[in-house]
Amino acid sequence: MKRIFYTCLGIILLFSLLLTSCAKETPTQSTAAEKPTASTPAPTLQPKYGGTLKMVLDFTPAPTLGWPPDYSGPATRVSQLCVESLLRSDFKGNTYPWLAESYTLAEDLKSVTLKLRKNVKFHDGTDFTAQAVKWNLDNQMAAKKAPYWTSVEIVDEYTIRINFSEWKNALIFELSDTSEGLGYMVSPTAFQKNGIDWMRQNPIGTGPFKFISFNKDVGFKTVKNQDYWIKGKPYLDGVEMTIIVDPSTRAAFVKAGGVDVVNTNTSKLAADLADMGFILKLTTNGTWNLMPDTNNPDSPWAKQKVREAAEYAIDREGIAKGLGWGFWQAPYQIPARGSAIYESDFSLSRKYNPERAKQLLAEAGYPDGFKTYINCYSAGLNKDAATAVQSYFIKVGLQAELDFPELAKYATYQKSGWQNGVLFAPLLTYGNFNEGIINYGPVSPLYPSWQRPPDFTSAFNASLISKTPDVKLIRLVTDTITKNALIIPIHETGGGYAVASYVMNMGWGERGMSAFLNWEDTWLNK
Amino acid sequence: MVTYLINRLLLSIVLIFFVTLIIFFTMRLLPGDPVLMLVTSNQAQEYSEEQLQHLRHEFGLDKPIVVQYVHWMGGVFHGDLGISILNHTPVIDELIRRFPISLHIGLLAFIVGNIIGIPAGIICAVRRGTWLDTVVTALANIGITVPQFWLGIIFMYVFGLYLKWLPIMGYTPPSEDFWYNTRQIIMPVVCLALFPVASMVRQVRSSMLEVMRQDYIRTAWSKGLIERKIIFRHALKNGLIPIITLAGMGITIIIGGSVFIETVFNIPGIGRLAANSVINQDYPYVQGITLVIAVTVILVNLAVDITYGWLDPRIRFR
Repeated sequence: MKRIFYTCLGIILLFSLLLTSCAKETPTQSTAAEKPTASTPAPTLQPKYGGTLKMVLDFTPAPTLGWPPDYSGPATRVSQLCVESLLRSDFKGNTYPWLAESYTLAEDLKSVTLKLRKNVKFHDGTDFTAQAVKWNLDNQMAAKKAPYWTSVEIVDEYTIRINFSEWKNALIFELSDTSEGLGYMVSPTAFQKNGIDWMRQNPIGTGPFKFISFNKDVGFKTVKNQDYWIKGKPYLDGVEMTIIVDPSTRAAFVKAGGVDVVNTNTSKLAADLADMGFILKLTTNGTWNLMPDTNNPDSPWAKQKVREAAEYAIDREGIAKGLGWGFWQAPYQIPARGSAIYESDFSLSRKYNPERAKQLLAEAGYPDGFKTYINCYSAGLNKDAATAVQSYFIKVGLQAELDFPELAKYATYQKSGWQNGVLFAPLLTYGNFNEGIINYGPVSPLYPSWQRPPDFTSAFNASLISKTPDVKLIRLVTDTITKNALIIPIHETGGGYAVASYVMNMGWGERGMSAFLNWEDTWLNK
Repeated sequence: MVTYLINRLLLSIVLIFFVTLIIFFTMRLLPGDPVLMLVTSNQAQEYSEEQLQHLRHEFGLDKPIVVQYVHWMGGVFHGDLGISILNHTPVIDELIRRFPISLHIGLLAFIVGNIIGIPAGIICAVRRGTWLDTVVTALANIGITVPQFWLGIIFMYVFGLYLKWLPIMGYTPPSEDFWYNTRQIIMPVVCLALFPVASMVRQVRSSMLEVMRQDYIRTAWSKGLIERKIIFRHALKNGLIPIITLAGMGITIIIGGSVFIETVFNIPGIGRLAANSVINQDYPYVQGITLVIAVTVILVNLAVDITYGWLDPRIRFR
């Protein structure tokens, strides 16, 4: 009897293990997950007022919600509900006025004058004036976020002038709502009353929603700003964001219903969300790349043939197909697909050719390969992609060891350099591409192990000082990088939102980065 | 008894001191720089060395380690556990917010673990060799081996998503909505209580079997006492000492398990905060949480030791 019992128990356990552990899911192609294109015009619907939009985040925002000098991507994704910027930018890097009514660049490009909107109030009831703007901009200068600004002047109560030491075409773009934009406005009165630590947790801006609460690891709540400066908006009663970091928990919570928007990247989760009926609003916003230590003369990576060999060694088509869940295409250039500087007829592609890779390595003096390291940036890393790169390298003789340092340790590579290896990290394509690659510029203190050859430096400097971003000049920069194999793109990266069908007018794709939405226009068609 | 208590309290203080010392120095021996972690959390910040030094000075990280420790311990005696490096918020505020949540769930798991584990173990011992003993023992063995986080995910999908009996995740304070809070914590409490239940069943069974073999129990049977009286008046009390020890250890297991359970069920407790703080090298949080946990464990062990004397008068406190 006991034997029968234990046998049955064993079978049950084995069966349940098989059921829960061994089921493999294959990537599903999602028709909603295609490259974003211009949407066909839908019949015009009248916006409806009411409803609280419920959103799920897969990250905890940095606690800098109300202090713009400390802003970063995760913080602004949340604080944009409450804090607005002087300008806004679109996906192509064009800027347009927002809290500023207009802006005028001086003829000599040494200053910009901004006329501010009147009758705008901060959430604490204080006025949005030139004094408030100067206070905010001075804080950015004090935090050394604006190295090319010399001073900020008040011209009159609603006019401000920023003076520059020299012109860079990213200077105007920086005043728009990017992840680390300099033009965000918060209430000086709230700061004087409560101090900086309070401000970090309480974004008191001019936005369409007023801050209610932020609990780390729990969520962020806002309520409609009844005194918003755009009359008749916003339409929503509020926006609530729930933070769920664990992917299984997040998937279950979303499946249970009651969620209107889920922030996601181009991954299996996005494919699952599409299967659940969400509409995917995703953009490819950059590439994950290998950055070799080209500035170390003793490193094999200093030789161009070695770098080209590495490119030929990697099957990027295979990586895109196997890991991209239908969202990726193989990248052979650094700019994100869909951006203004992406070249659809790019001719410098070094496609997968392991024999060519071995030949180049032999020509470079490494017929048996060499030992090297792949130091991976861990935030947002797809470890399978890193492992794939390692395996491709090993096949051509590059004995690559993977390293997944903590962010703090990775930061030392960025600041102090790395030896005999590559960094594996993302490079995002901002609307103004120069803004995205400023850290790779000739005067940047970052990446000392990365060489800036003369042709790159001259192309980079020329692209920076054009009056407006010049696609041709920027392409010269990216083409120089690709021609010299200074950075090797491996796979695309992207992100955005999965949106329920009744969520209208989020403005996805209209702003500079995929994470920025027109919250004042959003409404629920239910 | 009073002398014993005072001695134990003094010893506890020494223990807490050593625990905090070990954690304080161990964290600082870890590779990495928490200031760099703060900087990289703000993405693409080009901090100069001067700015980094300023940040280190702001958090007192440029001082000698011994000075840092003395300064921190001085703050502890004033109720100031420091300021989080990453969040710039007082550590004590976050602990006050989160500790009751973890305590609520942990305490319930502890109570459930003992309420179920002890009777189940007694049943197994008294009905040794029967199908009941076999089933319960098998379940206990499974309970010891099943990973809590895996069970949590299974529960979430079965009871939360498919059956829709319980909320999937989250924690609403009971003062806001008691019934919803009760429904929310059922799954986390069950997952946390599983290992204590399972280990308690095994220990109680083992203890009771040993006690039931004693001569005085045989005498009690011979005298014609009913089973209930024999078990609860004579056997259980004598078998309780290892059980109480295990119950005390169950607290530490619950604290450790809370890291996984709070992550799976998205509960903002100190377990989750502890895990994130270690990863982010947020020293003040790690130190503060360690202090709280150390105090909790030491107090529990003290309670366990005092209980020994109550259970067994032969144990004298000196």
